[in-house]
Amino acid sequence: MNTMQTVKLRPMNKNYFFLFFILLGFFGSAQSFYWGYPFPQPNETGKKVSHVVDGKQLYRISTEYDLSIFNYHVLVDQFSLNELEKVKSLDLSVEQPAMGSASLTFKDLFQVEGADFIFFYEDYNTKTKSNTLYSRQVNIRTGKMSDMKMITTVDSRNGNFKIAQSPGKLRYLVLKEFAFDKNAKEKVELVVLDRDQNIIGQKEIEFPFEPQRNKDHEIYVSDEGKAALLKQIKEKKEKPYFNLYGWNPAGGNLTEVSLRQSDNYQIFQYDGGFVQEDFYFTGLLTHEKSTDVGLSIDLNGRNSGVSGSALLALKMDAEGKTVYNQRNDFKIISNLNITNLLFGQNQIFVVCDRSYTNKKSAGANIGQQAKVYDYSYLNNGFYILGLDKNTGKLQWDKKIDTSEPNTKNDNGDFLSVLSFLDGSGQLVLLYNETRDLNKGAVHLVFNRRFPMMEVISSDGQTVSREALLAAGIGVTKEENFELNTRVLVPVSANKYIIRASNRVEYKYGYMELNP
Amino acid sequence: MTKNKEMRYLLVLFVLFLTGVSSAQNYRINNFYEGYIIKKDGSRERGYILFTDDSKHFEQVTFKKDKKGKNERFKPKDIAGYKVADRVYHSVHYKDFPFNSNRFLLLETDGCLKKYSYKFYRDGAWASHTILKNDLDEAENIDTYLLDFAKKMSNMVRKDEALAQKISNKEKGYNLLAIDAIIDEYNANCETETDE
Repeated sequence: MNTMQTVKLRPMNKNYFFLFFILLGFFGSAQSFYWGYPFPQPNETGKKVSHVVDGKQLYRISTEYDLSIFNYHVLVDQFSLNELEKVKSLDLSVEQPAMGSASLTFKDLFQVEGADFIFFYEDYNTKTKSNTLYSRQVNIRTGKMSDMKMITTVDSRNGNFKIAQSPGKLRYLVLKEFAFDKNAKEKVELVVLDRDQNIIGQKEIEFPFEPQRNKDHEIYVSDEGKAALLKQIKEKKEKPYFNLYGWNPAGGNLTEVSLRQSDNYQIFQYDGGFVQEDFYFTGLLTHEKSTDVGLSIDLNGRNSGVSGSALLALKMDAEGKTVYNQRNDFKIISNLNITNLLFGQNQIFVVCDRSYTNKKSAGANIGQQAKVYDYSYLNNGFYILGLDKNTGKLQWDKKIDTSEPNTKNDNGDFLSVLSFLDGSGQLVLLYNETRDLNKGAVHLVFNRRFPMMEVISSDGQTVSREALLAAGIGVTKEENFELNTRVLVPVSANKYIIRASNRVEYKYGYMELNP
Repeated sequence: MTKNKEMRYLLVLFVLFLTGVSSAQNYRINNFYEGYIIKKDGSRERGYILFTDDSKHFEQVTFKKDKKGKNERFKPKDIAGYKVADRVYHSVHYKDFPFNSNRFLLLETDGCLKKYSYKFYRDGAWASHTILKNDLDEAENIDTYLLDFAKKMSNMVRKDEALAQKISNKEKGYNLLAIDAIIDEYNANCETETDE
C-alpha cells in the first residue's frame, strides 16, 4: 500500500528552489526588457497623445484644445533611442499674438516619414467670409516648418473640415462639411489629395435627408485614393442610424450601404480601415432596452456604461461593392469599448476592453472658467472576437474577466489592454492583474500589479498566459513602476516600445520577444 | 502599550498615510527616484537619486546603486553631474562675483553654449543666477555682464564670428534682454556646422 508523504523542505532547500525559479524566470524568459530613464508624468487626460519612432528618436506628440485661445497646443517630447531618455521638448502650436488670439487654427497632423509630418490648419477670412484649409510640412525633430499651402475653402465660418490619411501615407481625404442651412438638403464634399496635398479628385454629395446641425461623419481613404464616408442619419420620428458611402475618384460612382438594423439596434462605437483597397468596418451594437437580468441594479458602477450585444462586420471591395454586411449577436456585455482592430491572414481580431470612465465636476464654483474634473476608471476585463475575414462571421469570442481595483485621475493608465499579432499570427494581449502580496489569514492588503501576457491562437484558445516577471515592473513591494496599458509602439519585428508608470513618472522601455 | 499611546501611534500613521495620498502626484522631497550620476570620464552610472529641495541639490547629491543599496554622497568636485526627474545638473566651475565658484548647476539650455541656473535663498526670498558655458569650457555668471554686455557676450560667443560681431556692434535684438535668442542662434549655427 502506498502512502503519501509530505516532504517538508529544509529552509536551505527552500532557498535553492526559490533561486532556481527566479533564475528560470529571468533566463528562460521568452521576452527581454530594457527600461529607459523616468521623466515627470504629463497629464494626458483629455489630450490626444500619439507616439512615432524613426531611426533617431522616439517622439511623443500631444495635442490638446485650449478654450481660452480657441486653438490647440501641440507639444512634442523627444527621447533618445539608446537610453530612452527625454532629450528635448518642442512647442509646435500656432504662435499667439500678444493681444487676442491667432485666427489660424491647428486642425490635424499626420506622419509622412520619420520625423517629417504634415500639419493641417484652417483660417477664417473675414473679407471673403470663408474658411480655408492649409497644410505645411513640419519636422518634429527640428521644429522647422515650410510655408503654408492653401488646399481648399468652405463658405461660412461654420463650415468645417475633417481630414484622414491613407494607411501607406500616400493619400489624404478632406471632408468639407457645409454650414447648416434649414432650407437645403444635407450636403458634403469629398476632396482627395495626393502625397503633396494636391487635389486629385473631388465630389459633392447631396443627401436626401434633412440638414443636421450636429453632424457625425467619419472618413477613410486608401493608398489609391478610394474614399469611405460613414454618416449618421437622424430623421424625424426615427431612430438614428448610419450609412456607409464608398467613392472611387478614378471615375467610380458613389456606392451606398445602410447599416440600419431592422430591430433598431444602434451602433455606439465603431472602427474601420482600408487594408490594401478593401474597406473593413466593425461596429458595436446596442439596444435601448438591452439589459441583462439583475444588471439594472448597479451599486458599484460596474455596469454603468453602454451594453453591447452584437457586432456588425462589413467589407467593401475595391469597386465599392459590399462583400458582406454581417451581424454577429452575442450575450449582453456592459462597458464595451473597441481598443484595437487587427487584421490577420484570414481573420479579423476585435479587441475590446470592458471599461468605464466617470467624469465628475470637482470644482465647487460652477462659474469657474477652467473647469476641474475628477475622473474615475473601472475595468471588468476584456472581450475578444475572432471574425472570418472573408465572411465577417463570428468564429469565436472570448471573455477575459479581471477584478482590477478602480482608479482615479490616472487617465486609466493601468486598466486597458495592449494587443498585437505575433510572427505566427497569434493574438498577444498585455494587461495588468492586481495581486495582494501579503498572505495570511489576517493581513493588511498590499496590492501590486503584475504585467500579464496572454497569447491567443487563431481558433480562440489561450496558448499561454504568464506574468512577465522579467519585465522588472510591478510584482514586488519595492517596485513602484507598473505597466501602462496605453502605449505600444512597434519598432521592428518582435520589438516594441512600451511604457511604465509610478503615478509620478513615466518611463519607456523596449520589449523584445524572442521567438 | 497603553491605550493613549496606541491612539497616538494610530494618529501618526493616519497623518503619514494622508501625506502620502495627498502628494501622490508630485515628486516627494527626501524620496529616492531613478536617475544617474555622470562620472568625470563622462560615463553614466544608473541608480537612485535623493530628491531634495533647492537648498541642497546645488551643493551635493545622495546616490545609491540600487533600492536597498548604501547611500553615497557626492560634491561637485567628485562627479561631473547627475540627473533626477527631468532635471540635469552639471558640476561647473565658473567665474562668479567676487570669486570663482564650483556647484551643481541646473541645465536650462543644452547645446554648444549651455545655459545653467542656480537658485539660492537670500533675505527671506529665493533668487537665481544664470550662468553661461561655451564650447571652450569657459563659464561665467551673467550678472557680471550687466555693465559691459556687448564686450563680454561677444567674447563668450567668439567662435561664431558673425554673431559676435552683431553683439559687439550692439545691433537691434542683440542685447541682454534677448540673451535666450542669442543662445538659440549660437546653438543653431553650431549644430549646422557640426552636421556639415
